[in-house]
Amino acid sequence: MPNTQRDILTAVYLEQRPALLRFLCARLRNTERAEDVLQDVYLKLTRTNLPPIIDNPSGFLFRMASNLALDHIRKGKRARLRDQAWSDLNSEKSGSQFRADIPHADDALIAKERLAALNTRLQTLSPKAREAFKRHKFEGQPYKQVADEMGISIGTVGKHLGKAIKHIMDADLGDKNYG
Amino acid sequence: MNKKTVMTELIMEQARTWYVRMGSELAGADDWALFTDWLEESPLHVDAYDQVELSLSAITAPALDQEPALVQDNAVQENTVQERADNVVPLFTKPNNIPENKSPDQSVADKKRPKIVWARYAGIAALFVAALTVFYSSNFSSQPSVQTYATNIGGQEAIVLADGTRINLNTNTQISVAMTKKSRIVTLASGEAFFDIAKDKKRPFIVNARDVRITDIGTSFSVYSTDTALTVSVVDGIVDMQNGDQTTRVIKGQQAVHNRGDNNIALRAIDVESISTWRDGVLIFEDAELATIIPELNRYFETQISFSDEDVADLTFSGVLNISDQSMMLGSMEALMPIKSERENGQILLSSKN
Repeated sequence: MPNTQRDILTAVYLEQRPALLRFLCARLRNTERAEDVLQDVYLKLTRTNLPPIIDNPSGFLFRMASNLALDHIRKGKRARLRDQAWSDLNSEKSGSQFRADIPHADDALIAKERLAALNTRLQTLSPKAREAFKRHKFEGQPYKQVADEMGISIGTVGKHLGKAIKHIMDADLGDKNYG
Repeated sequence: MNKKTVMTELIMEQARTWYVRMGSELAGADDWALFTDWLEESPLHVDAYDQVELSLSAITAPALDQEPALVQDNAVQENTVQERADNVVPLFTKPNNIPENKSPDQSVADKKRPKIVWARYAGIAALFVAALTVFYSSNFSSQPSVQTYATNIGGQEAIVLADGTRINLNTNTQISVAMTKKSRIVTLASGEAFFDIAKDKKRPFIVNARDVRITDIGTSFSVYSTDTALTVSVVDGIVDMQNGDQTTRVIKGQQAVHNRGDNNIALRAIDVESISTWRDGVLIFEDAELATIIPELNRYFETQISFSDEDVADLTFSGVLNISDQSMMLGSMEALMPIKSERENGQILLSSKN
């Protein structure tokens, strides 16, 4: 029974490996770390439970790679901030933009606080954009499902999400006097 | 707004557009390639994308720490394929500086063949019975052509490169080979490989394994890479191992062990006859504890062996075990040691006989 989900994904992984590596190199700006993350992708797809049905297997792998790369970036940033906290104290970087990544004795509490701040920020967003954002980001709904359940096109879902992200980022950068 | 601010805002807008585009469950390899192009265009693009992702990272922790929601039931799947062609267009607000030949519209056209692609993957998967697959990656003309080889758990494969170099892949191993006019570079992504290098003074043979670079000086050797250590064993000739600015020379009959996170490379003498005996389907142990033997054996089989008590872990074993057949291997172990094996929940449990 060779056509298992894992075999298919492994085959796609091997076919896409150079493209995945190229993406990770560009995303992480470092070949060595890219190789590490790629290795993590491989381990994850060979060792962990996979969803029973994966439409678009190559997209699945790229998103897995993208998520693992982000984990890597966040970990690196946290470590760097820990090491250089003193030097950043008065610089722009200590601004709210990276606040989430500053290490703290109670990371979970910080995450909760950030989430609450985000929720507050979302209150000033148009209801449709807020709903689309929450469905996709909080409930993990795919774009198609968001579109179907809200009775809008996938393109409109994308527009709502873009608007929501800009709204959130504007709040983060507010004290930096952009424009 | 000064010019710089306008630029920054423009790039930010692009970054957000890409973020939304790549967040779609419909984004395929073509979209990711275009996105990679954009990231490669400028470090500012990568900075901007970092900012977008990090500004949303509060959500990543509590709500989105799982894989992208690509799971769909069969009923919807049929529709999705249809929807792609019709609905995907308006989502892709065109980022401003994508060259015409990389237009997102083109990738939309490409999306009309997902089913065929799927069928091809199913076909490829069938080939996995043969344990080895070879793919050419000529998608990106700017990159040297890289060939990838891999084995599954329990698989082994012998490869002969164009220059006459022979490579044996052990179980669960992945390498990529890049041959250029000036060099021959193998990257060992995971697992273990034995190299018998064809001499070519003009083209050094290099094996990259994680953070160590192994340069061959006409020889045969094995390289085994795990999460915790890299082991290089030299059967004939000399290799140089380079990690950071440190180079260690390893000669015939020596084994070098480099533990991850440690700069030192430890050398010890090894019997060349015992190197890479897996190529003959056997492993040789001398006075080794079962606690160290079992993980080694488990590399070769899907069905994992574990033991129930410390008495078993402490038993020592000397001899040859056949790794081409798990039942046969267990039979020899039971004959030579006071242990018995039982299959339980898809595992094999070893326990004391008395």
